[in-house]
Amino acid sequence: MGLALKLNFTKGWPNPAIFEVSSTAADATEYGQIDEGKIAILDVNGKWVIQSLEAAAIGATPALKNRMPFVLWNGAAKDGDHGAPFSATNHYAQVQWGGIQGIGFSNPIEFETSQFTGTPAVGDVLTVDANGQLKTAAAGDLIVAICTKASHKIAAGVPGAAASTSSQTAITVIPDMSKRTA
Amino acid sequence: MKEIDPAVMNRNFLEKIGSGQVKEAAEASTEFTRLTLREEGLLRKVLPPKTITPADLDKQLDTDKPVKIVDKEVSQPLSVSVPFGTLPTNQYIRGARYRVDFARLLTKNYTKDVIELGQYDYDIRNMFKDNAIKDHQTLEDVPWFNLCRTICSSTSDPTALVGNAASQISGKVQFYDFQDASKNPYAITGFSRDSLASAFTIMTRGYGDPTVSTPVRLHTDLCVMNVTTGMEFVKLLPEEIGRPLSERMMSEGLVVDTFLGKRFLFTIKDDVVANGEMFMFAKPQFLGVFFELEQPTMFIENRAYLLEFFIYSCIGATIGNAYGVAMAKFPVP
Repeated sequence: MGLALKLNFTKGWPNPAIFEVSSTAADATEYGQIDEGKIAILDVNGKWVIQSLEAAAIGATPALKNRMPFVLWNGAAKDGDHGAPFSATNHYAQVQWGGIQGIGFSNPIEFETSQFTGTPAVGDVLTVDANGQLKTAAAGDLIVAICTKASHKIAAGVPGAAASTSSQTAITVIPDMSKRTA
Repeated sequence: MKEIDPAVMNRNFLEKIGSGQVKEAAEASTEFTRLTLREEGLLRKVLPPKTITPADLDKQLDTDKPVKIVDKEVSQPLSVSVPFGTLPTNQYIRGARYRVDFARLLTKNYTKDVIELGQYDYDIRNMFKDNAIKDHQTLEDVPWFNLCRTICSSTSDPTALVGNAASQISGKVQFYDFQDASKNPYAITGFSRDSLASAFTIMTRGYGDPTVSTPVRLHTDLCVMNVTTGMEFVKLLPEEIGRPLSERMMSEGLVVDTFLGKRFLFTIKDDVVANGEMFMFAKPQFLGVFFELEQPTMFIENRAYLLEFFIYSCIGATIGNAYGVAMAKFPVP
């Protein structure tokens, strides 16, 4: 949790015509992996799953190529409106309303995200790793996005030296739903 | 109240929208929405909502979402008996708190061409609005009762409750299963005066080390079951409930809502409270809080010939005292 911005839509959201899904994590393990800006897919029960779309995963489960990636937005940062799980040690329990919102890659959007690894350059095609983060696609990886701006700082509203609270390093991407592999 | 022709009502509503009085129509509908919240939902009867404003919220360092922090009582050491001349030992005072996060509830965005709206002889807009409010209430109830099951469960699976097994949250047994004699401490099965009275002992049984602090003990204030389970009361024989009540229920049905000194709430929502389930709740001040940050509000917009409306609200609820919930299950198919 935290106020540091890990995802920022530069184009396309908010929009009443946006395709978005509000759901919950598939299980406690997935819930632990979910975070704002990560890429997720919906499982057969309509629940969020963080899933690698690299060559090995696609090879093992070809049907993964057909799933629509979503970038997780509101509620994904575990900061309140997803319905916080109970606190067993403190003997209280919150009623779980709300959910975790995902913005579909079918939308005409562009977004800045700090959920990436490596050093994607402008024009690089990107895939999703097992942590739900974007990375430059290697041969056989499913392409889900294209980098439109390489690594840069995005302000979180608090100037200062500490990267975790003052700004995030992010790349800007647009979705790629061509279902091609690198 | 004078009956108004629904077709006239629809046209009047449309005229208000058409003349640009969208805000008035929204306010009128908003007022009407609040006044006609006829069935307040189960959660609202278990834990009456308190309306708060953004000024009542507590800012947090880790989120800019609305949060309310609520204080709660803690256990404290017991007194001791000492010889003369002995001074007391120190105990620093510190309380506990819990958090209430909020979420928005939304209906669908209902749309209609206004030409078509005026062609109905009943107030179809009002019907959709009323039904939307009921959907809103059900959305409040479902997670609440799922949470109650989770609290009473010995595992994290609220669908797999085991009778007479300690709650994973409180450590205390908070569920008796009267479908199986081995799943309650009384070895009772069935719905009877015995099993009902035995269920109420869940909360009254003290929990905690009595040599360290006062055990947690509560009283059941409100019981919730569905009407199908409620019919089991009507089946009770005179020797269990007394001849006068038995005869009265034989002719009038389930007309009493207080049994064994406990208030009962019978609901038709058997998708929320399943057959055979009985939820027991302590008084609200021993249970938790339910806040309304935005009361159910209708948004209406008319663009040319297209009418749209939806209802939204913002609420949060936390069971601050997990000991304030208990469950029983009876064999009701």
